[in-house]
Amino acid sequence: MTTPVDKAAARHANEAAIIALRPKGPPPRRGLPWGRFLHLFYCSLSYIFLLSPMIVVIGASLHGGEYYTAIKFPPDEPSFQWYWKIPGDQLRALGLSFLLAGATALGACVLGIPAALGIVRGKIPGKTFISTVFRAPLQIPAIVTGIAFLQMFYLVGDATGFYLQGTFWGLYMGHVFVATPYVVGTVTAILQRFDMRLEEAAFSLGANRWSTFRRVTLPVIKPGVYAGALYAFMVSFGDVPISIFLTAPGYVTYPIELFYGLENDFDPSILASASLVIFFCLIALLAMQKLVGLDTLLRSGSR
Amino acid sequence: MSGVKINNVVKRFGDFTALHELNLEIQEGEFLSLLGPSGCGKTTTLRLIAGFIQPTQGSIILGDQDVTQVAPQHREIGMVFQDYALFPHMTIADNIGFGLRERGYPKEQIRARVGDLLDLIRLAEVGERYPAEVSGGQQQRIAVARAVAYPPKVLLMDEPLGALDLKLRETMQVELRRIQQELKITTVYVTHDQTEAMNMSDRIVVMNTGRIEQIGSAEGIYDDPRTRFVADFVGQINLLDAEVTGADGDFLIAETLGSQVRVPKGEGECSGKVSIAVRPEHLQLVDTSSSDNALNVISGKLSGRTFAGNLTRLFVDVGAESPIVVEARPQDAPSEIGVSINIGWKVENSRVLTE
Repeated sequence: MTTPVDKAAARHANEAAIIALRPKGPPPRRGLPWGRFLHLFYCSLSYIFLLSPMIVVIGASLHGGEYYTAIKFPPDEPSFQWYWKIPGDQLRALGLSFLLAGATALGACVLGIPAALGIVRGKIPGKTFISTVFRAPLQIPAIVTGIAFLQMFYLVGDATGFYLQGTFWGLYMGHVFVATPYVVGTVTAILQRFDMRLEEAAFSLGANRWSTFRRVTLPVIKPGVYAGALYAFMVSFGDVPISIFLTAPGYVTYPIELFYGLENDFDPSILASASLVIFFCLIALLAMQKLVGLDTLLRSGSR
Repeated sequence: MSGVKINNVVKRFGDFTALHELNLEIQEGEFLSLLGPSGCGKTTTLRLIAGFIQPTQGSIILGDQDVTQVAPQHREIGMVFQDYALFPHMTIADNIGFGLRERGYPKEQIRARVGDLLDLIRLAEVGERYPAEVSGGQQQRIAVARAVAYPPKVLLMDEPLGALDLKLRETMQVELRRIQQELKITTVYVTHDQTEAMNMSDRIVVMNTGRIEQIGSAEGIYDDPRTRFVADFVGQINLLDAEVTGADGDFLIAETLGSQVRVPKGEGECSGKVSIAVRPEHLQLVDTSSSDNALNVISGKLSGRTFAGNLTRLFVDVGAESPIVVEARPQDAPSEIGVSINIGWKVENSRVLTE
């Protein structure tokens, strides 16, 4: 049996043992002496890794000499000559891609926002199953999606006489299919953090459901919508594996056109048109940053 | 007519009954507080009046209209939320004008009303700022202005001062009461802070586990608690287990901790086991250890003391489960822990509680 006195003695002994093990001497200096240098070095490596492909493409596009079948970097006698030789087909394809990507972003929002609202707010059975289904397009390899769409278009066409393959709408359906999960994802994320009291406040102030959605809910979840739309746009704009099955002469998207161009014979004008797109995207991103704040957007957080 | 009547309202969430047969009438222009610990049903009651949830049974009358089946947006209520729920993407002025704009008032009229309200809450200069750019106390007042911009039949407030620090909370209590009286608006105020309820309300409704324990003025509830729960929840109190042994006119004779004490008779019959309630400020240190007809005395040992500036709290071990708390003037308080002392109270300052 231990008496309180024993316990106190034991505690004192333990305390003394802990104190005895206390490190002696002055406290160590904070951080490694090379810490700052290592940090800088590591960051620089990352940036070089991420940026060098673009720098090479832009640099090589300025190649000033004669026709040349390999990438020449750094360019000698820099000139913009290849920029004037970008084939008209590529520019037309670029136009189609912008249109398609814009429409895809819009379509993904029209489908994705209500889907996200249903997933987060709805009292529907099997909610997790539904949200898994909505994410599924991200998990299927895109090339499989492309084949599946093509097959489906043939089947539907054979049954109804209404063929979608090789049309703009066929292409559009494929793109909306892979882009919608991004909008569902970002909007779901922001809706889960949405303060329901904001809607209750709007109701208590006499606003009906639609008005509450339009004037309170939508503006508050806007960062999530923008972020999703931006992802949708980028997915559509850069897509090759689906588009390659669904394009037809007259409806060729930009990445596919580049792909064809590279397949046949290499021409520095491809570098030039790629550089143009890089610049265009840079300007678009900067504009977006000015308008809505890209960092908020990509975090898809509320302010 | 813009009172509120709650008739026989029952609210169940699945198997859990949040409110049992609640009946409550709120007078026009009255400031009524619902006071109770969390989970007592006070917020549920408020949300039922607002229409955010539907009663399982019973009806809610606003003014002279039965609104049980009416959606919140058609009830003409004003609601102030604990975290204010100001619209973050709108300016303060747009927030305040929201209800009027939704109801289609002309822009000029809205601007004039918003200006008036900003004056009322003494924030005329912040109209063009966003909620994130003003302080918590300011947001609080803005939330009140927004709720009353379209004069509501009843103003509902759900712990609106909960997020503020103590000093600001005291200022805001005065401020809210001033605004409420200036607008003569019927108000239901939910809080778990008894000081807040006592400072502001015309009447207080003390709730516990989905039932009303007591309704009354601040003084009524503090001086004459009707149940152990109310006595314990509102202010500090000492509860002594006692057994009624007899009666003497308007008084009961009871035995507690081996001493005979006298207590004023409460309403209704009481016999057997009861609790005797005495507030710490009614207890005093006495020299004698014998009671007389006007003074009850029990003796015990001093087990602890805390200094609170204007008074010293003494904890006296009288052999009961928890020590008895006595509030004494610092100069009167004995300093030696363990010393035997006698504490007494005037008979009329104690209450007998049966529930």
